[in-house]
Amino acid sequence: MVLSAGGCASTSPAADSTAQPLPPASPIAADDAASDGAIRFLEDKAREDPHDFIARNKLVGYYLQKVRETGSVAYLELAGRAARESLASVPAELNVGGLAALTHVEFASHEFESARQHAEQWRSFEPESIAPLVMLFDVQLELGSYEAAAVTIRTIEQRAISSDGAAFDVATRQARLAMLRGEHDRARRAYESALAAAVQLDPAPRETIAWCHWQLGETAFARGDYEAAERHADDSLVVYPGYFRALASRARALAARGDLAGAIAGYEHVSRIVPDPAFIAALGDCYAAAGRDSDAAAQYALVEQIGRLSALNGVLYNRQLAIFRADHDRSVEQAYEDASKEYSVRRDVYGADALAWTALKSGRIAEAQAAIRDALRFGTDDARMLYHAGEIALAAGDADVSRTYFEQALSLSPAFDPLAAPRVRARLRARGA
Amino acid sequence: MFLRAFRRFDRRFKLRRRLLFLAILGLAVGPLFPGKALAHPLGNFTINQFSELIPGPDAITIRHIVDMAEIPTLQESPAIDLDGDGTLSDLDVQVYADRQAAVIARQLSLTVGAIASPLEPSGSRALLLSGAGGLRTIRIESEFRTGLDAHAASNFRTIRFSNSAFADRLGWREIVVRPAPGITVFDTDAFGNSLSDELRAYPEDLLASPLDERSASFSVSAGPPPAGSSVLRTRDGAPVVATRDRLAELIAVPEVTAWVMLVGLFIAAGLGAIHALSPGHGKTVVGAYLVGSRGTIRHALFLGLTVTVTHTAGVFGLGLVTLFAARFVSPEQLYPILGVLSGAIVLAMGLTLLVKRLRAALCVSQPAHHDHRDHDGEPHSHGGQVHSHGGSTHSHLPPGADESPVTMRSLLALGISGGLLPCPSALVVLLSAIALHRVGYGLLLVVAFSVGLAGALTAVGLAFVLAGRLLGGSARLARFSRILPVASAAVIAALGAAICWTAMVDAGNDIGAAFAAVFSHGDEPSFVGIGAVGILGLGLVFGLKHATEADHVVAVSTIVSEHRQLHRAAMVGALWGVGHTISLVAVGLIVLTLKVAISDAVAGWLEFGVALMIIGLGAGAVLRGVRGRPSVHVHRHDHDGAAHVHIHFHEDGSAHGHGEVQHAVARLGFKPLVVGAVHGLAGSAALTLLVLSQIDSAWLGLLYLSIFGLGSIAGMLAMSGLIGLPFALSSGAMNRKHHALQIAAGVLSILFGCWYAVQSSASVVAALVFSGRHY
Repeated sequence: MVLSAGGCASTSPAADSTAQPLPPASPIAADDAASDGAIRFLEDKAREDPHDFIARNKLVGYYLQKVRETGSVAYLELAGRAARESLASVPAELNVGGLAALTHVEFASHEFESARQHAEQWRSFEPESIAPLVMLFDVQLELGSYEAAAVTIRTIEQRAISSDGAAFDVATRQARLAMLRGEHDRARRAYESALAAAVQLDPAPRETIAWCHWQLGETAFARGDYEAAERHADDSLVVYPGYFRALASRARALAARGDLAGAIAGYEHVSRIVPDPAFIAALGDCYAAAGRDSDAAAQYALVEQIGRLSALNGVLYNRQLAIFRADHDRSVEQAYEDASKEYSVRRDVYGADALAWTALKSGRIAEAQAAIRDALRFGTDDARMLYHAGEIALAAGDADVSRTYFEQALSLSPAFDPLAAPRVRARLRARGA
Repeated sequence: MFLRAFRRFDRRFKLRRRLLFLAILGLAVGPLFPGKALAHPLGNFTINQFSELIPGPDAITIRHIVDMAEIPTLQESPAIDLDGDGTLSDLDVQVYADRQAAVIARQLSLTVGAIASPLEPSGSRALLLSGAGGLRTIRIESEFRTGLDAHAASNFRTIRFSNSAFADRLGWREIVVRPAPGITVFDTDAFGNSLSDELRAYPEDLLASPLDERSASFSVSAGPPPAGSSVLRTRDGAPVVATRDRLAELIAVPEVTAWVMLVGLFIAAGLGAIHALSPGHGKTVVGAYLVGSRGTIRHALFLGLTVTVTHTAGVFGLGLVTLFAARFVSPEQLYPILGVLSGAIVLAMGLTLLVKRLRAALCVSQPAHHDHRDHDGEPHSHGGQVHSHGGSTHSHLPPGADESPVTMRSLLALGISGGLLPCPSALVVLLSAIALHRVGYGLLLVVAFSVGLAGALTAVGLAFVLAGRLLGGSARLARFSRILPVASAAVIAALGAAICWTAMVDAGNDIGAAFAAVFSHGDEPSFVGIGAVGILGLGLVFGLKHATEADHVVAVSTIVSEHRQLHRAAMVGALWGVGHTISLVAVGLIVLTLKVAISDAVAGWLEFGVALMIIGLGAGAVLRGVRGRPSVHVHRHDHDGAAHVHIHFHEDGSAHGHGEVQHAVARLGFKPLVVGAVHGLAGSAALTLLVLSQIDSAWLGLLYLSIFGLGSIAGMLAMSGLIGLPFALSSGAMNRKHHALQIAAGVLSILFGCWYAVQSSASVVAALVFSGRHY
């Protein structure tokens, strides 16, 4: 409601643009050698001069790009080290680049509250610039400060009109808002604009373009268009072979289209490259759907281990782990505690959904009902959320409401999950019979 | 330029020391974290790989190590646990290692010339190690070989290696080339040393992204590298010393016949001679010494003998160390120490000679009675020619006679310093000889090599002796010959200092690296004993180097400028060292007993205080130089019954052996002591104490301090002696020159002090310049 009151999208130059034909995906040469060379050059400079904050600030940018490309936490730690060293040698007042770097690192490390404070500070140093506003908007969205986010994006959009090069940043933020509000078409158009803007850049940013294709695939999957989802993932992989997000996205689309063997192969591949708990859990689900229960159990055990391995893992994967546990009825008390602890500081709709789901699984039905209301308050059209809402209504004894949610979920995305979608269907059949 | 060079030096030095602290810190803190909790800073889902390529004469061996972090190990566990009992038995692990080796063999590719060479696994083993979160990590070490045809190594071959195992996995990928004895590697994009100690210790304290070396190419030859090629280097850029050269080839001949042996010995002697003539073997020292001392042919021959014996003994000694004690100390660690030792001998000898000869030379304007009072009591005139003794001959041998310029002792010292540092190839000959069961022949080769080396040095010496005689014969040049001994002593001292310096820099590097490596294995108790000895050894080296830090040298130079005699200048340095040590030990006691650390802020202020002190000292020196107090004294006195008059200059009434009571003797005073103490309190001294607070045993800590102090005393003694040289030399000349030097020293000191003050106060000044938007 806050968001619709904001009415941000109507003034946006990007989202209103008429549907343009997508640029064909073509492979983009890897610039790994160049960026690795730059990293080593800057690392040498940093080593030589402990006060070279400029080299450190630049390193943060390169390290974060490595995180995006490889999913490696090691680079996130390096980035944090570089940003903090930079600010230790020159304070933020004189080193806005260092402050910006630190803010990005904190955002990537899910330290949203300090990222918000630093983004505010950054904006106070550079009141005319778009970059701190974009950062601030991202943080506000993650924290669930949607009212503030609506204000922020209006400022961003006004400034973007007179600013070249902001098109990509604006379009991707509009897309996120649209997804949040269940406006899948608007989101798709926004990502298409973002893709068009990214392709214009010179040199072409390989990972960014692949990311746009991947996002298009994600939105296609969300509205149940699995064929398009697979196609976009393939496009993404053409641009950037081996891109781990697209590999996972593709495996999920294959599973939804009934190619369980292909999905298993895809998840096996991607979980070897980047053992993200979500990928491993999905692999386990595919094994389970294929009847390979012991293989599934091994993957589920692995998910738990990863969460425990390091503090940073615990922070980064907190929400995924809670949902995974609720999905599989494992340590549901722990899952509920983690989700409710997180929701107390990070009040976004997906956090509300996680809280609702874990509350239901741990037997707190009233709390689950309140939380799922929070989660759905902007009309987010997400099959998984609708499935959770249906289960909660069912547990509360409201069969009709439950049935509506289940039907909505399946009509939106009939195969949203290899284990949950058949379960929903079974529930509907049981009712219908 | 000067300042920048200083700054860089300072920074490098401090950085290195900081690394050492971390190493020691690791030793102290290590036991708190059991197992390898910190082993995978790269993230616990990496698969890390290390390939060591070992080109040999008839095969190329590849040692390949895979270090799987916790998550990949978990992911692989079902594949490892073949019997499915949920536990990983030794058998499971060994079978897995063999299977992995077979897979990896297919993913490593090696081409020799243009031909792909298949790799045969020749052994593998796997180890389960404990990792973070109670999980395990697995380390697979496998070895592969591929044969080379007989002539492959004798021709120049280009070898290409690439690793596509676990190509899409995140991780550290490192390739190292380590040629087998007798093989030279050149024109390569790979390096000669491991940055991670073969995946045992990843660098984690710096901003360093993981290595990603997936391929390497290099050329090999059995002989020396071709002209114009670039040799294999370590990651620091130091060339990897060829483990064998032409000398070493002599031992590796297929069959040793009498003829081969004879030719081999001649070649060895020739190589020894060439080796002696290559830079850095003290030819100049020998020449300078013999010329300055008016040596004879006998001296030159004696010198040759000493060098031969020392060098042979050195090779044998180092050989024994390598054979029997390599586990505790490697020749690589000994080399720099021997280098420092041989440099120190030369330096000490040079300084001694310099002091002696300066005394003689500076007394030219006065009767040099003290140097010649032993000459049969007969009065003689010194009409400008110091040493034409009117036909009265005197022998420079045997040793012991004070006035004899050449003493056996210094000859021996010179010979030892020339032969102390064994030529690495001679060492390799000895080791290869033992390996090939040709010990006798090997020993002969080493002796022949040493003889050749000594022969060349002797020949150089003889050349100098003869040239010196020709010079000496000319009366016209006789005046020149007065300066010659002084100049030669100065050259010797300077060369000694240079040898010492480079060796110390090396030693600092090598020992630092070695001990960092030792400490990083702090969980192995066998290293702890060595660790203590190592800390102490390091204390000495760092003490020596510490004395040469810029702020110390500048401060001491202003005090030295007040003195005109070399031994006084040296004493200033020694006193500085004593003051430095006293404050160091005092603060050390406080730190050790009260367990308090010196805060950064306090250290910063102390550093600032040092800067102010340097400025003050500089100002004082300038004032003294400007005011000047030229005090020309006319003396009339008699010795040995002969009365004479002489004039001399001195400003502080330095005593020179007659009538001390007549001059006001300005003592060396407390100034150097106090300055040393302030230095001891400030800056890197505080850092030194930080090390101390990490050393468990208080006694070890105090011992370290004392040894550090000794090193700093010795280092500053030598430095101030060198600094004092121009002042001592100029004191014999007009006073004006001396004062100009003094003012120069003062101005330099003020400038340095100002710069140092700015440096120590903050780096914000630099920041203001760059406060742009860089992101």
